[in-house]
Order: sequence, then C-alpha cells, then structure tokens
Amino acid sequence: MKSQEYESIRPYLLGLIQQSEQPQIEERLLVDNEFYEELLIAEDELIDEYLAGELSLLERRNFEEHFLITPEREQKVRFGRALKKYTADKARQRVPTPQWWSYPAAFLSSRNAIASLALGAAALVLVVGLWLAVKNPSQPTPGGLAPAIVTAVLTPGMAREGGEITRISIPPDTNTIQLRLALPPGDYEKYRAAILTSQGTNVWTGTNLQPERLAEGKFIVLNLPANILRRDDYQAKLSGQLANSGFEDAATYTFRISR
Amino acid sequence: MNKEWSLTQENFDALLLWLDPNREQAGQRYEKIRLRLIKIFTCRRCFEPEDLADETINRVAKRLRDIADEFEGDRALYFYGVASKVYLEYLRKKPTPLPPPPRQDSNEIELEYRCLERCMERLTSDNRQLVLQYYQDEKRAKIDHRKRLAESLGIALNALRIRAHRIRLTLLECVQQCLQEQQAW
Repeated sequence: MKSQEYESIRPYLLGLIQQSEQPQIEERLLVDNEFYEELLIAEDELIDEYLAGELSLLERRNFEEHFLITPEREQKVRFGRALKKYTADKARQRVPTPQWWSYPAAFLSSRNAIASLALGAAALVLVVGLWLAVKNPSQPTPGGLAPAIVTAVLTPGMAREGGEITRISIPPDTNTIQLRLALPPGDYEKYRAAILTSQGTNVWTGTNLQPERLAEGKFIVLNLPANILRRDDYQAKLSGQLANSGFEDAATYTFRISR
Repeated sequence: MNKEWSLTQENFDALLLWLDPNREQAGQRYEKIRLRLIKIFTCRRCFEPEDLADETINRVAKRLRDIADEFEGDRALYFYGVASKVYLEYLRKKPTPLPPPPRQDSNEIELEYRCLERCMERLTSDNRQLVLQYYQDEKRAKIDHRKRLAESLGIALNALRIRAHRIRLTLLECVQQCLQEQQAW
C-alpha cells in the first residue's frame, strides 16, 4: 500500500498532470519536508516498477521520455538495477542446497513464506529429478506402455532478473510434464495460465485453474502433454481472475526444457 | 535570460541573512531551496536544472534590496515565483535535449555491483537485512511481503517505506563515492 501522497506525486513525476495542478504540488515541495521526501521515495518506487516491468504502456513511455532526462536519474536507474540483482542474488544464496529428502520438511519448517518460496526454487532442481517414470506392469495403458510423468516445482521469477533458469530434463518416454507453480501470496479464486516459448509463441493455455493445497504450500498444477515442449526456454504466465471477471498478472515462471 | 549580473559575496551574505539570521541555519535553508528548485526544474523536464536553479537564486539575490522588508510568508515561496518566470524564459529558448547517456558496458555494470556489495557490508546488520527483505519480490508478492515485514518490525507500512528509502539513499551515495574512487585509479 502506498501513501495517499504517492497518488498525487506519481503522475507529477511522469508528467501526467494538468499544468494547473503543478503549482500546488511544487509549492508544497519547497516548504513541506515530508512531502519532498515522499517525492524522493516515489522516484525510487517508480524506478523499481519500471525495472520490474510493472508500469503500463503509457507510464513506461512517460517514464522514458519525461522522467528519465537527467544524468542523476539515469544514475538512480542504474543503481536500482544493481540493487535488484544484488537482492535477488542474496535471496538465492540464503537458500541452502537441500537434499531431496529434506525438501518438504525444510519447506514446512520455514517460518517465512518468502523464504519458503526461495527454498522451493533451490529444491526445484531436486524435484525435476523426481522423474516419476511410472511403469506399472499391473496397470498397462492402452498402448501397452504406462504413462511417464516428469514433475517440477516452479517458483515465481524471471531468469533475466539474475536467477538461474530452472532446467527440466525430459527422458524420451515421458508422456506428461506436471508443472507445480508455487503461488505467491495473494488470493485469487481462479487463475489462467499460458506457456510461451522463447519466441513468445503460446503453446498451451489453461483456464479456470484453482489452487491446490499440497504439503509444501499452494500451487497451480498444470499437466502438459510432453510433446508440446521441445528444447527451448519457456515462460509460464499466471493471471489471477478479478471480481469483475477481468484478469491481472499474478506471477511469471521461467524454465528450460532439455531432452 | 539575463545572466550578466553575477552574485557577489556581499549579495550572497545578504541572501543568507534574509533566509535566517543564524548563518548555519541559513546555509542549510539555502541548500534545501536550491535542491528543491533543481528537482522542480527536473520534473518540468528541463535539461539543465542546476543552471536554472542558480539563475533563480541569482535573481532573488538581485532583487533582495527591493523586497526584503516587504515580503511576508515563507521565503522559499518567493523563489518559486521567480523560478516560474525563469522557466517561461527557458521554454522560449526552445532548448535542445541532451544526447542520451552512453550505455553502461559490462565492466561498468560489474564495477557498480562490486561497489554495492562493499557498501552493503558497511550497513549495520539490521539495515542490511531490511534492504534484503524489503527489495525482494515483485507485484502482489512484494506488497504482501512488505506488509508482513512492517508487522514483524512493529511499524506502519509507510514508516517502513521511509526507513527503506533512507537506507537506499545512503547506499546510493556510498556507491557513487566508491565509483568515483575506482575511476580515479
């Protein structure tokens, strides 16, 4: 939640206010110390939102053409980028590399949900290793071959933000790839998901997806036919359904398929 | 813009005295007004905000003899009135935009990152933890996480924003200093 001041300062910083509104804000900047500090905070927050790709198209354009015009602000953006990478790197380093059998216990014993998610990221490599090649001769499939499933847990975050991309190795006889998308905090009743290739081509879409509570937390579970995912880098984009039936971005996950 | 008149020590002393009888406080007030004028010109998309702020201050100093006894109210607001006129003159000049800054190469990015690492180590443990936790995550996760962080610290969310911003400012200054030192080598 941002302060109420932020709501008036943000459009001012982006050059999105009426000229007649300028004096009121600028006079306050000169005489009101708290308001001036609020403007400095709003600058930082705008920069972070820009770097995270959270600005609307209009805001992004104005950020680049109106806001980003002085060397001082360029410097702040470079600093924001370094800080973003640093905190992401540190978050990964804080996660111990778990033995696969310790993963659920560590996940559950963590008091901090964010730390749990981060732990999930490290455990990912392990869960990818949980290749459940279920070949049960007592229950053959019609084709005579039992289904082989590869399961992977994905945590939100983009590889370009400094995180290592999650690698999923697919053995030749895999039928299904089950992606368990760890949900960030925030509740939506329903979600939709899209799987995009590195070129941005949508190869799979799921709608009306509901969270599943597993031992390790809440997930959206996607069961994808293995043959739609070739060797490539992918993004899973998850959107949450709003009360007005619209959708908003909830999380993005990245992974690499190798065969 | 008339830049022929220049600020003498005598004018400057008179300006400080007008801002505050206490010389030290006057100096702080002057710095504060100058920084905020620069910010206002920046927000108005002026390419040389420092020059415009200095021009504004010069003009106030020049008129001081005429207005010093009569002006009532917050003196910073008088600067604002003058700044508005300076801005209009600036617009009439149709200023040309500055060329875009050169892109950082990978060595510069690496250097800035190393400086940031060094500056993070200089923070107190509590402040370092606050930065690491405050700036992780994005979108909804970030909002929820910050709420929990504020709760765990027993402070309001807005107080947490201010605290994080002040540490960030310290870090930025430290990184700039570090970069200057590295480039001087």
